[in-house]
Amino acid sequence: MSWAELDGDGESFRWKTSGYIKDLVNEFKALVPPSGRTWTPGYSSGYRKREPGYWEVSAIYWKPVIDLCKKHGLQVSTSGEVEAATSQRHNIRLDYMGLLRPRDGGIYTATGWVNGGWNAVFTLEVLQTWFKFSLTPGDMPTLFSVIGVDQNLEGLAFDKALKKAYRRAARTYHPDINKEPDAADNFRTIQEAYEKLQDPLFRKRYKAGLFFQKKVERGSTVYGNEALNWKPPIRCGHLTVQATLAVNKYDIEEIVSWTDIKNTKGETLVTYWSPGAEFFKEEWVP
Amino acid sequence: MGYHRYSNRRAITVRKKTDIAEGSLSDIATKQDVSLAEAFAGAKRIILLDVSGSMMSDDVQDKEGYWISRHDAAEEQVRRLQREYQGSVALFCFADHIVFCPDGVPNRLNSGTAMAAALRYIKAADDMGIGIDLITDGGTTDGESETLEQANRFTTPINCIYIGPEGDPAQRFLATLARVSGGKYVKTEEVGVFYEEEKQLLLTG
Repeated sequence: MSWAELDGDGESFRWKTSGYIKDLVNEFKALVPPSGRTWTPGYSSGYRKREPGYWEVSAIYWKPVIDLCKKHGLQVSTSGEVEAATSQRHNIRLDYMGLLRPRDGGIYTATGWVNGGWNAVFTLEVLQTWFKFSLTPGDMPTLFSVIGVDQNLEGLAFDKALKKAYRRAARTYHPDINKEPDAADNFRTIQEAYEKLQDPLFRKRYKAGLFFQKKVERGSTVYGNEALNWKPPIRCGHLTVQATLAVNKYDIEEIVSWTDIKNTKGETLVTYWSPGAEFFKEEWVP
Repeated sequence: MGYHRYSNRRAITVRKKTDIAEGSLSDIATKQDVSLAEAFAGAKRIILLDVSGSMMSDDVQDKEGYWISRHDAAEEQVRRLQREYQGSVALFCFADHIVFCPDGVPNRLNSGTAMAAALRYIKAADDMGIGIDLITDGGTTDGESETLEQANRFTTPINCIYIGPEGDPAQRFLATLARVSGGKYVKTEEVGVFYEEEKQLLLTG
């Protein structure tokens, strides 16, 4: 009979099964988001006995995983104890944030490089709340979202926020600094958006246009693809976040603050990923 | 425009699903690689076109003297306006509900003339220097007082263009609606009149 073992260790537990059961793994991935699990592969070589791989899972999924195993007819044995991690404020240094991508279960997340690993997970909702955009797959990015400015602000407050957001976004995608293949295009888009949004009348009409555009049926000439057309206007920073820390990963629920990373010379850090590179690159910009 | 004739009426043109009028907002958005919202921001006039069932009445004469439906007459002129004043027209069609038609082609006909609901919907574009022209052949199924109340809330004058036969009681109501919002009332029985009126409005703002 197939079996499953769960070994509790405080805020996480190790979970392994006697063999690979495709449906079980798919259901597990749908149940536990990427921020709550890490896979460690097994090995089998030469005279050494084969060791199965295992999942390191956040403690909050202890009972759901047991139930899942039982549902699939596995004999379950447990050891150790778990204590579910709680949500807290954390100060983190985010060195690089990747793009929003669809993950298992259809949710969109972006991972961030924190503490020397891909240890931070930002959901679409978290980023939408912080960067004040509202896009669903297939939507075109708005002029507000490419810069990362709140479209609900008015008057001087908007002008001030626009300038600040523009400076950040332009610095991140300036083609002299950022060597990503579409950096020049992004930079031009950011500049055009900035120029247009400075005009209050245009802004007013454009917001009305966004309202009507939302109502247009999908599959028309302008829409059609399912990609989420949004790039973070800034990729790195010192962040204060509300998050659950489990399996060494920050499952971020809210971004509370985001400030630039500066060195002793007062320069600001910009990070980007150039084509073919194995890792993101860092540039200090005056 | 390839259509055949029978008796003294034009056949209804069969439209392709991907029909996009030249100079419409979708056309401009595609050509300039901008979003519909940006294309909308460049529009000068909103045309609010009635597409209710009564618009199928064949009582409008084209320039060659053939009788065509009010709907076809309006469509032809809206297409012409968009072609000549590229990116200037934002088309909305209404019957029992309202839809934004960025492709610049009036949608299918429906029952009802929910005029107050249509005005409520386009209120989002009020007071931003975009003119509003209501083209219709009839009254409102939302109730005249409710419709007039909606019109009265607009800062932008609503011009009413009546398309249909002389003597219809809807004319009086439309004239009132135009007056309430500070707009102009125009009646047209011929295709060209409607086009010329719109052209003047586009040129003068």
